[in-house]
Amino acid sequence: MDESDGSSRMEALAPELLKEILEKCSLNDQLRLRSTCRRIKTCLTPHISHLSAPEECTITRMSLRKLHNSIHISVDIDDVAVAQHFIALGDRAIRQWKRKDNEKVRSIYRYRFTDTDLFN
Amino acid sequence: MVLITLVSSDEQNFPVERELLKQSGTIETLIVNMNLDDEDTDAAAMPIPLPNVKGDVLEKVIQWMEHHKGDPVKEGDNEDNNAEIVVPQWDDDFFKPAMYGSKHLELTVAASYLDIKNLLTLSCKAISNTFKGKTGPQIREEWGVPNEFTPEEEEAIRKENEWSE
Repeated sequence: MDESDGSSRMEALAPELLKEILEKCSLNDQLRLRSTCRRIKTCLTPHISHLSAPEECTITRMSLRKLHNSIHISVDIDDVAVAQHFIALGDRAIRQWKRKDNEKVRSIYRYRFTDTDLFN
Repeated sequence: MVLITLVSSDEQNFPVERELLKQSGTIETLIVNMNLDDEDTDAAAMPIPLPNVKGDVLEKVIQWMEHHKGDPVKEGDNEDNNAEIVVPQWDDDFFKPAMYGSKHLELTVAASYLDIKNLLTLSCKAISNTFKGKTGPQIREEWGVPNEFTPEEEEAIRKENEWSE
């Protein structure tokens, strides 16, 4: 078990031992640990249900609003796993923010939309 | 008191009280299979080679087993994953000098190889405790893990985490 065989390095630890260590961490620590290295990310991600967007989900409220030179899409996120579906939506927005109302979180996305664009 | 000699990978001999070795599933199986408990045979004096454990690590394992002599030995993998594992103060102090270093990992690997379930559980928990509240880059620095992620991949992880933290 000398250092040359790699067993004494974190990234070379046997998968079952890595899993044994990681499953003893809290959810928040597991989420942060995913940015340590690919191996840890691969080991943790399938076991964190919050990160698995469901194939089918129900959105209780989604609205579209036209403002000067922009449109706003707001979505009520009732489930953190559902929020994974909206990451790509946020990537295309010029601005994104959240509003918390008790247990409910409303995510708002702002997109550039000039007055000459069609809005039907 | 019956002593059994363990031989580390670097050929160091460690005479250990027979009773202590009941904590190690691997050694216990070897003792039974090799009839080392039978004092009437030559086998009783036979040393047990442990080619996967270095002397300094084996010394720590024996020190841990001595402290935990008489503790109930955990059997099987029926651990309740929901139960919070608390590392007792003695064990915390025992692991501390090796924190953030390869020694703690070597001890964990040895506990797994020797099938000492209580040591493995506490050692893993002590490592996981060192991760508390820390970011990936902080852990990379402490444990000497190279950064494999591009800034784009790091950003993607941050976005995925955003809703759950």
